[in-house]
Amino acid sequence: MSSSSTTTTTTRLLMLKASDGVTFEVEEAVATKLGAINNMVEEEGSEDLICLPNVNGKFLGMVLEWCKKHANNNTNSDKGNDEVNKWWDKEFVMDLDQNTLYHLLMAADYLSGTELVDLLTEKVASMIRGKKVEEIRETFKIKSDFLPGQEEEIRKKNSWAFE
Amino acid sequence: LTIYSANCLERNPKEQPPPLFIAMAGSIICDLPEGALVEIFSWLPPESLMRFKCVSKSWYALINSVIKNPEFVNKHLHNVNTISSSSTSSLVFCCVSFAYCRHPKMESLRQRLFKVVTVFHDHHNEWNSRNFVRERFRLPTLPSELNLAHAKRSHCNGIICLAQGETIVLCNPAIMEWRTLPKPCLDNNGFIPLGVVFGYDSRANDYKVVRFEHYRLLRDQVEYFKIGAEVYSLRSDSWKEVGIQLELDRFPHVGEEVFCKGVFYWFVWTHDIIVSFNMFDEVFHSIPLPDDLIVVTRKGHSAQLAVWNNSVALFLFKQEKAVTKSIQVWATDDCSGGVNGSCSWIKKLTITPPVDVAFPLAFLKNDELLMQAATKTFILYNIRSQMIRELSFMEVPRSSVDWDYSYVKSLLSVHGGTQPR
Repeated sequence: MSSSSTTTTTTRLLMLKASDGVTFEVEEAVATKLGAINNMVEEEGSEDLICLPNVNGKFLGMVLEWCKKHANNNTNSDKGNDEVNKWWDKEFVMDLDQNTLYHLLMAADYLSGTELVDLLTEKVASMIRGKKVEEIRETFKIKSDFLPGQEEEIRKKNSWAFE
Repeated sequence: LTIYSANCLERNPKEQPPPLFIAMAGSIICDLPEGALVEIFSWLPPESLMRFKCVSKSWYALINSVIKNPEFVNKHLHNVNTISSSSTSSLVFCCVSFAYCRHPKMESLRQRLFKVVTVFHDHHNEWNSRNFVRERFRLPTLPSELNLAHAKRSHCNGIICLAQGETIVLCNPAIMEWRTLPKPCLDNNGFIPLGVVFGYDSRANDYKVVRFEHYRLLRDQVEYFKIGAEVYSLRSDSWKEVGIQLELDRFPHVGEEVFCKGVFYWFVWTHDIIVSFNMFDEVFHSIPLPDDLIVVTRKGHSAQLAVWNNSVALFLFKQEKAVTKSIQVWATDDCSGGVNGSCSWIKKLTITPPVDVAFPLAFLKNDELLMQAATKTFILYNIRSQMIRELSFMEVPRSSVDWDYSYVKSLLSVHGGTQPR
């Protein structure tokens, strides 16, 4: 429970401060979609200003945009909302470039936005699903550190997965 | 959770600091935290995960460890179901049956085709993308005494159960695992299986094989059939007999089973009864069809079990010159396995197929009815939008295809996750 003096009918506003100093004023119901923020709010005597030194303003803004959409759509318990959320989520990740996707995922993970992490990791998975091992190494900037022969052995054991 | 002080959310110092990342053309994610990488893995199909073991030593170790973690395997299964439920249609799979080519010259063809399960699923990206995507899984090397042509098949959460006589095999083609189960206990007593099914008991978190069987006996030179049943639990890796109080006066013919809310149902059409088996309490019930439905079935209508709107349903239809013009869908309001001895059936739908069909097969979703077309292809008909899709498969002889529905690819181990080999 929040320990602030606001009554339940008034919406409490929180200030979130990103690493680059950009601040966002958001309703508590929106920000608490993020597990990390929710935990802070539930702490005794929490203040309304929360610093988030590991997320910059651009990505915090995007994360909060997602939270806002989902908090709003959850308030009215219409059955069609699930579908609306799905469509909106689809749009949200549709045109993200890899760099943005990466930073958003880092931010969502850091802020414990479980549903958003699901959405973003599903998107990443859909991008790498059919790729070859070499393409994965390139995408993730990984160098093979297998000893000669080791990789061939693993390939042999799982040959059906390479067809 | 992350430690913070004075209203500042800081990363735990033991964790890696956020990387100073500069986007390079076509590259991402060089040092994602392991947790996020595991989340990504949980959305990948099994064969991609197996392939990605080759990326590096750390990926090899991570993938090998997560696929043995029951929590990850369940999350993966949950995600697979999320993806397939958001597509416009569920997965369908077919397995070629070989009753037709037992000639020795067909041996090589049989060997080749035996090893393939073909899965068709919607390519779910665009509204008007109506094509099924075909995927093939090679079956692992199955024991030679198992003749797939005569095997009873059933599947649940990616594991396929193949049963013939006393040979029962579980296999997961997506991870190339198979295993022969211990011999059933009633087999030596002359029981012959009528139905063998594989399903999940969500309360005990256990997978079970149910063998529902008959035994011919004579009483005053009149034959009758005793019905028996036994259940195998993957967790205990053993069979046990379960009580079923049922005796039938002539040979029972059993249709395809359906599974609904933890209960299996078989329609014994020779006797107008439905036999149910509850996976949770392992109790059988026999539910008679109500008189008004028996009257309909006696008038030359065929009846077949289905699941519609999350309840047990019956297709009632009449073929004339091999064509079905109208299909009635009767559903039970709350049958709950026939615990109360009977079910009340209500006619919910009358469907008029827009093209010639031979008979209905199943609802893939509430609105999507799969039907066998008169011309031996398959029709997927959306009863709400009235859209029709024809499914035909060029590469397999149409007459020898056996179907099942809603197959999902999972990482579930046939060893039950507890006793890896």
